[in-house]
Amino acid sequence: MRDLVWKIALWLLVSAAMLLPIAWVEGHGFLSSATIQMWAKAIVLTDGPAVFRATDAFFPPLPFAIALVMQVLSGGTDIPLPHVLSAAVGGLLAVAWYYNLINRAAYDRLSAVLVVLLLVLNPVFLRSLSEGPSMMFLILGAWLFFRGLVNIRLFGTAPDMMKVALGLLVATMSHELGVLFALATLPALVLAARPSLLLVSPSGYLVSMFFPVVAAVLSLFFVSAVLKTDFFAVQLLSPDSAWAGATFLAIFCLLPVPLMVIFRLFLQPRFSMPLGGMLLTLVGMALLNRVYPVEPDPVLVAAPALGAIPVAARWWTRTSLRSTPLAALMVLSAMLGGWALGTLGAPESRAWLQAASGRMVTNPVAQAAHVAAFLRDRDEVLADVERHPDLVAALGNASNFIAAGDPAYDRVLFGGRPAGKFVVIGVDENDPVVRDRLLRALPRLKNNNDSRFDLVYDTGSWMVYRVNRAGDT
Amino acid sequence: MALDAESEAIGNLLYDRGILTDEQLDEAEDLAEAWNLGLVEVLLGKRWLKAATIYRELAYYYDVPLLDLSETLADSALLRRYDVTEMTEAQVIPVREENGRLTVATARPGPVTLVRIIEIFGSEVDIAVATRLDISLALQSAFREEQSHEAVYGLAETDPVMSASNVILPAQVVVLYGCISLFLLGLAFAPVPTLIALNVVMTVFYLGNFLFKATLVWVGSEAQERMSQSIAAEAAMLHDDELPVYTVLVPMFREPEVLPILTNALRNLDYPLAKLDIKIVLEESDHDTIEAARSLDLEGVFEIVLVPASHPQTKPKACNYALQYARGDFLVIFDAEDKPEPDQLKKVIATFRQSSPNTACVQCRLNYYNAQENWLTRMFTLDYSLWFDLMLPGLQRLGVPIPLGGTSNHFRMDVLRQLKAWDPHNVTEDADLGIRLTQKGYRVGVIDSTTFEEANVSIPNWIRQRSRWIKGYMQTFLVHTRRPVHLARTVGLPGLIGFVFFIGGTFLSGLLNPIFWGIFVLWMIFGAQLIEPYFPPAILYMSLINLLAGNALLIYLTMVAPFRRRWTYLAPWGVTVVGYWVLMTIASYKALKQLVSNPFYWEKTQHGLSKHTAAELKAAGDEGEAAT
Repeated sequence: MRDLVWKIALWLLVSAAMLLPIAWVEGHGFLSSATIQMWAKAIVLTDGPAVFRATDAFFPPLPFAIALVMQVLSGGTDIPLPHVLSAAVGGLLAVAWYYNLINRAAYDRLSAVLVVLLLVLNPVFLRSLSEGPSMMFLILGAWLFFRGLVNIRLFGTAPDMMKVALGLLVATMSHELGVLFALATLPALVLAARPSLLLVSPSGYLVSMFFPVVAAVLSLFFVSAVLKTDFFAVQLLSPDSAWAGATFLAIFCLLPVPLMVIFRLFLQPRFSMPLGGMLLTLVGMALLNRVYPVEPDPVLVAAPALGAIPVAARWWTRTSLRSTPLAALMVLSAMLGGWALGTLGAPESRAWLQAASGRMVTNPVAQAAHVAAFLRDRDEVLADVERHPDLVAALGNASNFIAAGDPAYDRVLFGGRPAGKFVVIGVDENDPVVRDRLLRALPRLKNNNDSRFDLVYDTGSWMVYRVNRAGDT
Repeated sequence: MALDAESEAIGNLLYDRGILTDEQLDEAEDLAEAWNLGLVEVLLGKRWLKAATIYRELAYYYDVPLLDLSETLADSALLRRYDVTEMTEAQVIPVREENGRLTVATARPGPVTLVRIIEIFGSEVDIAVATRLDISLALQSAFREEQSHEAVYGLAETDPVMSASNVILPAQVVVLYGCISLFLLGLAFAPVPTLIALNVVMTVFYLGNFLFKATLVWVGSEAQERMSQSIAAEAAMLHDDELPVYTVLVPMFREPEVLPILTNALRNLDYPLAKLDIKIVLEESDHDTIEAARSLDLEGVFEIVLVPASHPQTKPKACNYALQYARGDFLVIFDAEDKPEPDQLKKVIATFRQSSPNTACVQCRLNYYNAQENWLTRMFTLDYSLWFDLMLPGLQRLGVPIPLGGTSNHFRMDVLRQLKAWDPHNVTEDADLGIRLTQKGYRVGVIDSTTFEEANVSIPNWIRQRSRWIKGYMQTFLVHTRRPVHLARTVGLPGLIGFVFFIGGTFLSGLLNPIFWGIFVLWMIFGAQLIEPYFPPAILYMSLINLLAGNALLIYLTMVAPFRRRWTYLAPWGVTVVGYWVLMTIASYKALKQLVSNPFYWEKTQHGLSKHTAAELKAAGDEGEAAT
């Protein structure tokens, strides 16, 4: 019991420490769109109008559900709650990796601390922390899966199978990329399986391995159907041929340690096959992301490879000097990770790198702070809250909005008489597609050309209109 | 250990008289040395000679008469003047008294026995030889009333609160009555909140049950692999000469057809046969099985114990009765169709040596040799794999009282006797004993050694068997919750929670399942409006988690269960476990009905229905012939 209390205390401490790098980049203006999106959804679902009905999917359910509970329990804070959740998962990973190295791989405390420290200081890990809890849960899922994958070959116990299943479940329920990750594990599961298990019944083996994922997906469809909510959806982005090469390179940047362990244990299939299975999964996921693009940032696609590093470190041959070459390779991996962020990363990753190096970047929430301040004391504001999470995040609540699900809002979208007192729209001149659904319904607002509305606020990117009732009968 | 002079002399005598061959004598002497036993004990464990021949030669060697107690009946009144335990241990009985001198029959004449005879009966005695079976039957005949009474009421008279002879105590009735009254009052005055409150309790119970089982599987599997290796290593290093006498109880009732399988399996045990004290426990009225056992002409180590007819006619009562004739330091129960792994007894000895001194029982795993026969046997195998391979080690790891399985539980004899053994009124006496052991400060261990059994192939037969088990769990739950504070103090909080979920959860889930299935069907047919008043959002989401995640988890655990044995072909069948749950529900309601109407009735499971049994019978017959 005391051991458990101590572990929980350590987790809380490390989680608090994880907030520091997040706060550093946030202080320099970086907030990922994923974090803003989740934060805003949590605010709208807990503090928003009771009639609000999300038109976007509830996916990914695991981080969303936890973020919602945190939002309810905290009542809302100035700190983005997804960041707190992200730090908590990061802390959990760090503590779990530490104890795994100590208890399972007989590392001494100093070496274990060093390995974990180098892992969490890897720029890709830090970038993932700021990306939000979805990505951190995906890394957690990947680590659990990789751990189980190797153990299944070596030990084949029920908890190992449960690790594989839990890993796949966590990955699938946490991130769109996790669905691709789960699909990519299929050949890896065969590659890593004990020959005796496959010989007896290949179908039995695969069915039981994939049952949790299938059950989870079917369950989500069921819940979506009975609660009439869109719980499950993976939105495909437009494909970009540059992704694949950059993604493979980014993954490779994180693999020096696993590659070295595979090289050293190459002639022992019981190790090299499942460790190779980890690589196969990562490559397969990247390939699937090329065909079904869900994550545009090559560095973030590579992030689940972080879960492979502690698993490889755990199976590094036990010698008195194993920490030194391991640490050297992890430093190399960290350097390559930094390079990948700057060279291969999408604009958000590059922005993160700028913020991390102390330069200010554009903060979307800060940009919306001014219009949020204008709206703070106004009620009955028509807004497309799902397309403007930055506005919701800046406001900190959504109680004064008329949003999707409210008949008044839906009427406006279908060309009906404007309801409420105000309408807020976001204008992005660079975006070829008008994302604001209110602006799509009321296109003349963009040029202040609708007599039913009086412009009361305009910064170019944000416009607020008062609904003009003069013509009403 | 060198052969003692007496054994050497008896060996030479048997050889000189042409009863033993040269090779047989050499082998017997080698075994006697290796096992640290006398030559006679070794020969009684072999099928070279009939037991009657050995006793005849013993009488000849010691120049004492050989008594046939089936003809020269022992004087029961005389027998009853002496202590039955002392006579049982020494295998001696007074046969008659003439002119102040006692004629004492012994199955094992010799200096040691002579000393015991003088201690028990005084020095005015004449010695005679009788077979061990005759002596045992004479003792059973003389003391049948007392021993039968002890078998039935031993526990109820010494520790009544631990006995299921009273199904439910008045205080429990009051509590139950109070709960039902409260519920009815709630329904009358505030029906919706009452139903919501009931719903909350049931939903939380389900959630706890799911989480508890997942935890058991996780922690159980982690620990067992390391321990299994060290036990196997120590078992392999055990020397036969240091092994203690081991009693094997085999209670049987109306199953003459499986006797050859059983005897064959016991002969295959990697344990000196001469150090086994095998008791085939039969009901006096079961003439077919008695006849079958006698016709097998078994070795001297096999002994038939006939249990007098009395109420309740249960397996634990028969075991309690036979226990009074047991001679071993350890005891195990096997069912008639059991096939234990050969090194099981040695592994148990190694486990007792490695475990803490308060370890009183070791439970081995049970599984089935006819898993592939039909859907039911597949599901039963998955069920047992989950229960014995994954959950029981979890209970052990968490310190939760372990409900022992029906067979292959090995006891320290002293503790078993001290606790008055099994409760004859409880139809899952082993589960009850496991909980009682923990409450009395003893520990139950679980080891990686399997006994293979015949899985039930027939659904009606399965329902009968399962309804008995569930009724027994209900009895066990009622017995051990009579003193909840005492239970919590003796087994600890994790033990208490585990007991509630593992024992209570097993039958409660069977009883509650149809209620939730019904609600689900209503929801699907009539929509959410019908159930909304009783399912506030929090309860609805929790129920959805139970319905989807909880059931998926249980299905998954069922699929994972056979992997440890590499039975991957069974895993996909786990998806159909819902059908098995329906059968469990039917069995649960049958059990509840019977708990009220006929609590001590023992639903007999018919064995030998499997087509594998015929093959087993043939194999046993062939091996038996080869051994002669």
